[in-house]
Amino acid sequence: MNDPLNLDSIEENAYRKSNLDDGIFDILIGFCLLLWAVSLHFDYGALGGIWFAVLFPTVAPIRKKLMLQRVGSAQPTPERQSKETKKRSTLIFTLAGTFLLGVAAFFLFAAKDGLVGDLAESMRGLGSSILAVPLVLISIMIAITYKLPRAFFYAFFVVASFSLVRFAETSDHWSQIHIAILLSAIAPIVTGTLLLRKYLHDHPVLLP
Amino acid sequence: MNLDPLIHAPARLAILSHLFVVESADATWLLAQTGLTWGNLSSHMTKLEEAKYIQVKKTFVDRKPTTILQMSTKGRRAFEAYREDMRQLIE
Repeated sequence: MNDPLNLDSIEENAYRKSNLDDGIFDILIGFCLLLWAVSLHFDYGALGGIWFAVLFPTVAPIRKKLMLQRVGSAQPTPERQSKETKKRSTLIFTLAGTFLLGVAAFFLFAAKDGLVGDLAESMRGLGSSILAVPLVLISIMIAITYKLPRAFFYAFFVVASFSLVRFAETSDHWSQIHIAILLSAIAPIVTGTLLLRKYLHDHPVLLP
Repeated sequence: MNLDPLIHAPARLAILSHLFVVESADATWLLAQTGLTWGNLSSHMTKLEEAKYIQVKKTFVDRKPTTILQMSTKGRRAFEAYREDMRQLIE
């Protein structure tokens, strides 16, 4: 039982128990990456975003189906709701900003060869590895925003996966990118599955 | 110093401190969060409801009976006063 007078800690623990500790979110992120990798393999890389858009709204119903009889549900206070909205907005704005910066960098350095040819060349040299940057950034942002250390591990795993593919590849960097994303998906899927298994074991059905 | 005996019992303190940080919650959520048993929660719930510290509403969610608990304004005031008393006692 938590310290009954430390309300911040009670609120934080209750929130984590209901939203972050069950591993469902991790499994979903892993599956999105997995489907993105498969789409890339069949030259439908743009579907990546669609997988995220389609699968994310399923989290709440899946969680409700699996967890309602085990951990119940609570309606957060308006303060908590606004705090969560702020966190989500920060995350989305940072990601959008990173994306825009990436696009700007591409047009500034890569597209205008004559202007900064060396930099363009080195960017091209990075090839598919450049895609690891937003994935790592997202993981680190989630780790910091939600105080979720395992997201740091996912970031490390993304770096390791892209590095592995980069060192192993022989020809075009981009042809192997789906393998790097596929490998990156392993960490959240495995971790999420283990967490979910433990969670279901620790929280049996409570309804009489 | 007179600590509110209705709040001072460990199980009721746990129930109230958890209800304090949410708008409302179902009984299952409270069971999972506090580690109390159904019987225990039910008896403490009755005492807190009689004192008008909480409001208990029986309803149906997806055709299943659900008990929703919410802390009343009186309960919130009493809990805040209890916390203040405890703080002074500790200091």
